[in-house]
Amino acid sequence: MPQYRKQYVNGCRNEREGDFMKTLIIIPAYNEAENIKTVVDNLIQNYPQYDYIVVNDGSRDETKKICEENHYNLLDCPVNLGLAGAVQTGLLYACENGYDAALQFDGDGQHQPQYIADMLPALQEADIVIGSRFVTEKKPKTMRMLGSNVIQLCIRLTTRERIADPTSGMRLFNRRMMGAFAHNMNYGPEPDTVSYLMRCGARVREVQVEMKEREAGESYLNLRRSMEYMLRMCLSIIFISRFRKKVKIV
Amino acid sequence: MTFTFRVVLIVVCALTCWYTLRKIRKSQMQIEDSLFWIILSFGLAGISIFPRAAEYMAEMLGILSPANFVFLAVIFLLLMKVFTLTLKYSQLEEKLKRLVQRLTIEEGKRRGREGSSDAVREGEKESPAAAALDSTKVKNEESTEMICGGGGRLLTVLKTAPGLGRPALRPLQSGSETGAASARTDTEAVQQAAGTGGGPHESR
Repeated sequence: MPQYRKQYVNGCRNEREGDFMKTLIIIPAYNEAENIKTVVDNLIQNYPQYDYIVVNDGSRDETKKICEENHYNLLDCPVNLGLAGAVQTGLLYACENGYDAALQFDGDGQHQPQYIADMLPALQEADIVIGSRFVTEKKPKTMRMLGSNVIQLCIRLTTRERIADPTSGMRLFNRRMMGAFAHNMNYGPEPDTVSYLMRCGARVREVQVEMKEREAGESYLNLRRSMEYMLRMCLSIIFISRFRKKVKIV
Repeated sequence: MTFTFRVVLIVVCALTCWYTLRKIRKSQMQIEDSLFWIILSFGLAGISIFPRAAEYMAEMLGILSPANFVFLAVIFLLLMKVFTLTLKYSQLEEKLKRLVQRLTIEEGKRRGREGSSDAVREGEKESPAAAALDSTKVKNEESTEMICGGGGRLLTVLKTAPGLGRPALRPLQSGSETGAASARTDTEAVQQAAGTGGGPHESR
């Protein structure tokens, strides 16, 4: 099995140890029956150097059935945990199976796997790598980006660093971060945790990626939920993250 | 509103904020749940700094004393909070029930496989290997318990055999040898993750 992996040049080699970086793609899926097949088939056929796992978050549609019919790697939650719980399940799995890096990847086809190869090398000098749409591209000043801009401002105020795409769901974690997110409370895969960890000294880098628009199905975020989310994030970043007990990131 | 009343209000708000943040620091409260208390504290502190707001609302509603309006407002907010808590409680009960049902059915399936007449005949041939599997399984649960605290048992339900990149995950019952091998790798991987210091931990 280890020989099988070393053949793939596209993967990331850890230059110091000469070892392949064992990467897990975590795909949280809630009611993604229309998209999950395209997403996972693409990963299996075109990106076999990465392992993947679909975390079915108690979907009420045929997501589970589709995954079982196609023999996808599946973790099936008996009840709905929400995005944070599903990603945490994937990270727990990654910790227990000795992965070096774990990537949060959307099940709706918006994230593009070809950029993972760009993100992996950045883990040499970062703890969290965010696949950001706006590193080299300019961020549009539209209503849609309003939430993202406000959160970006909050992060800038509390950490004095610029995260261009704080709400991007394409986040790559190294082993230490995987362990932290998997085993602790209040470590949701969200911008407020990222800002807290930055204050603790974690290195966060952004890598330019492209994302597609959602192909099929419904997004979880409508206007009310977006506003609630934004408010919650801002309050958490400004009033709570700065008072949390700092942990040492070695 | 008397000056004493306003001072007491501000002090109580500060204490509530401080206590809530303490609970967050100790990982005893989720941040989403704490926001209600933080916002309530700020709201009441705001009223005590700008009593004109309470006086105006009291006049509008025909309440004689602005302090009475503050009481009314707090009671109303608490009622709302109790209602949302009831909602959350109902949902948690439902989730728990579903979880227990899933666990029960999986246990039943497992016992059905072990206890059926076919399995008994197979079991005679495989008993040394099965015994090895049992002991590694116990070690597995212990180390899972160590890392996950109370969630260890939950994890054993969700956990499936490692070895990915290949399409099908092999379920644990097919071939006790593969099961034993994967259970061993599980323990190793768990101890490895624990050993390399699974990241920062907030003290409980």
